[in-house]
Amino acid sequence: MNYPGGGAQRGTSRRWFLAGGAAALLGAGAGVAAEFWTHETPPPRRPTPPQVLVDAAAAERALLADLDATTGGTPAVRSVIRQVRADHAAHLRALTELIATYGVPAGGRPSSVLGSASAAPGTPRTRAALRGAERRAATAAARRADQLTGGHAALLASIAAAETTHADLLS
Amino acid sequence: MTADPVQSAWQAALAAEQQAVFGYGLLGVRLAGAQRVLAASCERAHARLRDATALAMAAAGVEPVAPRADYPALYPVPDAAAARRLALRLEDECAVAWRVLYLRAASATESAARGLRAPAQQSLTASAVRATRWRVIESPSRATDPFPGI
Repeated sequence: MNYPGGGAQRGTSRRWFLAGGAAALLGAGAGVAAEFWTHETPPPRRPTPPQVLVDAAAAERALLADLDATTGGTPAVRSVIRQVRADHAAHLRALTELIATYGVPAGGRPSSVLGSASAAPGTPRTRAALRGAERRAATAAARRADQLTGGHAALLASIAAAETTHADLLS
Repeated sequence: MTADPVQSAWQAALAAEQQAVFGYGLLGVRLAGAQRVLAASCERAHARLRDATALAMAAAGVEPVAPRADYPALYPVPDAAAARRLALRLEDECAVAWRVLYLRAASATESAARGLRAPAQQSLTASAVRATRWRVIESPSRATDPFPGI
C-alpha cells in the first residue's frame, strides 16, 4: 500500500529514531562519565621534578648554545667541539626524559619545567673560555648530584665526569 | 658502618683499582715514548688510589679485599695496540666500579655511606679523564664518552 508522503514519514521516523538513539547513547555516555568522575579517584599526581634537574637541563642548553655560536678554531678544536656538543646533546636528552617523568606544578605548563626547546642565543667563545665553562659545568653538576639521591644523583655524577673530560680535551 | 650494598661496591672499586695497577704493569712494557709515560702516570695514580681506598676501608672497620695473584682475563697483550685497548678497558672498568659505589652511596641513608660520594665522584672523574686520553690516541674523532661509568 502506498501512503502519500509515506516515504517522508518513514524518513522522519527514522531520523527521530536515530536522534533518539543518539540521545540515549549520549545520555548513557554522560552517565558513565559522571560515574567515572564521581567515583573514580584520579591517578596520583607525581611530584614536580627536583629543581636541580631543571637547572642541570638549563645549564646543558646554555653550553649547547655557546658551542653552536662558536664557529672558529682549528680543525682539531672543531673536532673536539663536535664531540663535546654531541655529549651535551645526550646529557640534555637524558635530563629532559627524566624531567618528563614528573608532573608539572599546578597551573604550570610542561614547557615551564622542561624549558624552551630553543635556548637563548649563545655567545662565541674562545677555547680557553669553553674550557672554563666546562670546568664550571662539571663542578655545578657534581654539586647538583650531591643534592639528589639514587639514580638521579648517579646520572649527574656521570655528567660531571664527562664535563671534566671536555675541559681536559680543551686544554 | 655502611650497609652491605655499599660495602660490596666499595670492595669492587678497590678490586678494580688493584686490577688496574696490575694491568698497567702488564701493558706499559708494550708502549714507547709519550704513551709509556702516560701509562706510568696512570699506574701511579691507580696505585695511590688503591692504597688510599684500602686505608679508608680499614679506618672504617672494613677488611679490604686482597689483590689477586694474577689476572688471566687481561692477557694477552702482544703489542702496543693491545696495550692501549687494555688501558682503556681498565679505566672504563674502574669508572663503572666507582659510579656503582656512587649510586649505592647516594641510595643509602647512613651518613658513613653518604661520605663515600665525594671520593667516588673524584675517582669516577679521574678514570673518565684517563680513558679519554687513551681514546684520543686510538680514535681522536671519538674520544669522549657522554656518560662515563654507565
